[in-house]
Amino acid sequence: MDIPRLSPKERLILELLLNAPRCELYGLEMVKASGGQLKRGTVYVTLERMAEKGYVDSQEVRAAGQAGLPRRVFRVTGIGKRVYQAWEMARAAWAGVPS
Amino acid sequence: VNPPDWVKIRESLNDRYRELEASPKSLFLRTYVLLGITSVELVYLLSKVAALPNWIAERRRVGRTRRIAKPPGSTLARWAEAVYSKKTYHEVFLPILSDLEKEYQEALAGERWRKARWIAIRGRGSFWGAVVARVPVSFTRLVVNLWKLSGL
Repeated sequence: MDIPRLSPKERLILELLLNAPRCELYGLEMVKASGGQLKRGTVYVTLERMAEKGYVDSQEVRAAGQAGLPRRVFRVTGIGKRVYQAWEMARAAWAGVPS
Repeated sequence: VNPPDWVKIRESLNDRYRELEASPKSLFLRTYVLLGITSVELVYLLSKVAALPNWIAERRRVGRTRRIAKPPGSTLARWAEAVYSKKTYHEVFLPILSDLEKEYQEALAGERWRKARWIAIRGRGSFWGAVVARVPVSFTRLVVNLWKLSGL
């Protein structure tokens, strides 16, 4: 089995989602919380790729009694959580390696 | 009958015209006309300047009561729905447009017209940014589909 890959943007998204109050966020909330590291246009392309890898899950939410387009809320899956933890462990282990 | 001497006639007419031009009556008339025109122009300009505050107030009032004929990004939504798969449309493009709509509505609710306009422009930019970011994916899928269709 191949080791799951995690790009810096994907890692940031997982971090934001795991630190969110209910472990779920809208794309726009992620963009605002990232402090300019995520862009409005590309964040959903990254999220789509992450959903294909199984790291995140999403659902359309339509506010009751509110007109307009439905919004999409994203949450971390079990695989996404494990991948993030594995990445954190790898980073911690690598930090101890003398350069 | 002798033919008329046109040179003489023209010279006499010119002399007469010069006399009229130099006469006090003509000067008075010309000054009067010039003053009349200038005063009309001044009155017109002053009326415009006086009406300026009302015009600005009217523009602001119309701006406040302006209604949205079509939400921003609705044409882009139709375009994306026609071009991309249902899954891509719902997972990538619809969230961008719903974010645009939400931010736009918030700006309008706060009566921040310039910000609303900026949000609409930025949202369209984000949409096309996503289109560009998805080009490699779309191209790969197109090649795969063509490959499958060719039966090779």
